[in-house]
Amino acid sequence: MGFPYDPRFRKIEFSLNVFDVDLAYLFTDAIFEADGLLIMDDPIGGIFLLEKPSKDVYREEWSKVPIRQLVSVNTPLTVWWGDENRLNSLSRRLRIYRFREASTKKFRGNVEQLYEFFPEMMNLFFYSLLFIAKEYRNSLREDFIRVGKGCELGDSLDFLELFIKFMEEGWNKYKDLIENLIQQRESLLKKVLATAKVWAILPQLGLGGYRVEAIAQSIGLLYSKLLSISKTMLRDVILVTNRDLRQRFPREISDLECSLREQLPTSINVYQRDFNDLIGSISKNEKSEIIFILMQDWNKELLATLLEKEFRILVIPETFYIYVKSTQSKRRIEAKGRYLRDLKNYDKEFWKILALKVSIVGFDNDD
Amino acid sequence: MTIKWDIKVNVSNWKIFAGHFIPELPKILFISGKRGQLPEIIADLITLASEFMIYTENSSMGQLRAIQLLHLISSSPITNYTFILSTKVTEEEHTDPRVLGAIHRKLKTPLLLTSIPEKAMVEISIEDAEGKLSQDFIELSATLTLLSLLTAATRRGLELRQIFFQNIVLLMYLLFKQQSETALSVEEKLEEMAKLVVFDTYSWYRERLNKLMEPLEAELRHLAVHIPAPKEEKTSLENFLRQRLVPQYRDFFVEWIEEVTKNIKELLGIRVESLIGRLWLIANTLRNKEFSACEEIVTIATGQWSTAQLLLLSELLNVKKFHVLYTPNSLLPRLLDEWMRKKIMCIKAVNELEVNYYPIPSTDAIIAEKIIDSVLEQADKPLVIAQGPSTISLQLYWKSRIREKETVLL
Repeated sequence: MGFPYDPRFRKIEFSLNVFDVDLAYLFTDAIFEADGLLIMDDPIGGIFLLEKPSKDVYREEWSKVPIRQLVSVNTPLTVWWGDENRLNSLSRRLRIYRFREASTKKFRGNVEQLYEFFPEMMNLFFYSLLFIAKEYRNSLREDFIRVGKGCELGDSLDFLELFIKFMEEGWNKYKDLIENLIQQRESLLKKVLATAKVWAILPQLGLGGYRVEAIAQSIGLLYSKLLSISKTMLRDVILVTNRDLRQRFPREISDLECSLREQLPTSINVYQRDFNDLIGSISKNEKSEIIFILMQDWNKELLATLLEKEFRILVIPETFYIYVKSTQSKRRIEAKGRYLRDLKNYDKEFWKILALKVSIVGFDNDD
Repeated sequence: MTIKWDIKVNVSNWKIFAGHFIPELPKILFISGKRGQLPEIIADLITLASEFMIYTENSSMGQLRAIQLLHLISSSPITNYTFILSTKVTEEEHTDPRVLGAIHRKLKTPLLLTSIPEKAMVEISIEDAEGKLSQDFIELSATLTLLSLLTAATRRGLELRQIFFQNIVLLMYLLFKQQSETALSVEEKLEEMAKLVVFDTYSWYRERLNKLMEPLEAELRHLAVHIPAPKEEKTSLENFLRQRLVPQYRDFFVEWIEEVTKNIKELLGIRVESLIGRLWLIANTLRNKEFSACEEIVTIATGQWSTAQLLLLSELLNVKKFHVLYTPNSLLPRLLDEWMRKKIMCIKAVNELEVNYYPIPSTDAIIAEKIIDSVLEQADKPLVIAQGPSTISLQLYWKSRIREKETVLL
């Protein structure tokens, strides 16, 4: 059956899984999934969700629609795509149209790459696109334009047009720059960690044994990954504490010290030190030998002291999204928690992920 | 079990109640009304409770649609409000197919059946207030109070309570600044609503958090720590509702905040106040530091980012232009602020503000740094207030320092 308007459209097949935007607490699973997007040009205009029925159409596919409607009343309509027999077995009531398809190879490539580099930003974008009402989304469009200043997005009429423009034109200008930045950041991280004689860990505690274990394993993993690519000068790993932490979490601190010893070779000294004592004991010459590793968050007043004295800090987030090139579930974006612990099985990509996720503070030439 | 009704709002032949049975069950939202134009408060309830997924205008929606939407929101898994809906809508024509359909759906859905409640702890009649401004302020405060009471026991649920309470206190202050006799009587009503939110947070909401066992190791533990128990729970809470919460004759919002915080702490016998405590902390920190004159503020919206916080910073630092970075975690506070400012645009201090928002990821480090660079370049003589998640606040603080811009890390 022909379509009366014969519109141009872009079909972008990719595993679209949208997470709740509250990354810190609700990150564990996607709240919404689709097989891609269909972007229609005028006169229809707008965005549709793309769904390709799999073999098990009755059990799996049909339930997606009511679930989507329950999650958000604002969800776009679903366009089912693929083999006609499967579509017919899904429902005889589906109307089948044949569209003329525009090439989207470049477009799709850019979406994938952006997901790889900035999954959290992309999640925010798709969350806003799929869940927030059009009238409020317009304010968010202006926010994204402010961020993308210089990529000629200012004349985009709506959120969707902004997306299309950035995918087709805007991103190409920044691609090389970002790729270079990732490489530079990767080298800097390796160099900083390998040349430091002291790693001073600033632990975020408070969830019983869970964080203790995750922090110790993450530091152990960081050391073993570093050892597999270069020599290290690491001599001491210091567990930095303060009065508040010692009062509130005495058991976790001693458990963490023991766990760190278990994770690291015996040649490395692992011990506790009070923040003020440690800072007071470091001479100007020794400053370059120490790197502070902040596990997500700490006392802001003490962190300000560190930066005023120009110490270097690596900030490791507790939870983050990463792009996965191939998985059995075909999901492209996965949420990782427990600092670096879930990256155990990543070899080549480990340092690239670190470069993308770890914030480095306290360097003059960090640009 | 009898329902204890916390608040009753009367507006154009409509009655809206919020109440509760026991902490194990969600709050109850009761709506009763007649055919006709939907009051703005219901349209606002739908917009905010759906977390900006639904855009509503009072003229564009029928009452049956409004009730359907509220019912849908009450069962939505991703919003941070949880309530049982109960309705009684008087229809004149029972042979109208739409009415029959609505009644059928009502019989089929798990609505709470109850007769129209008569009394509530706090009773508000919007049309009783004199003048449009007074009515608007009461209506807005009633919306914020109702929503505060309906927030879920999630981390963001608590943050929403904090934002709403801070904004109710702001509305009281702005009205107080009008300094007319009408304003003073309206202010009393707003104070009653503010006290109700405090009372509910330290009693029912706190108890609900303690009753919910899962997930004890994560989110709820974080929340439970933030809502301390009143010293002598029963007596201090009862006493609280009889006392004054707001100060008399204070010229500045910051003094107002300090007084409200102090009063809550004293009346409940607690050391740390969780609803407005963040504003007090910001005010205290900034007043104890010396800054040279700045023209703009660059900051990060935290989970408690609110219009009240914007006004507080504007007053403390005498600045009207803001550049605000927000992570996906603070998308909702960002949208709420804009919504709130539009509602009270008639106030000069609000109308003068220029707020530019910038989305920033908290864990995509490379793009986050580039966004920080770009914002710092755009800001002219700024004071940089680095707050919120360390993944970006440290970067903002450090980059401001190396660019020799005045900065503070909170």
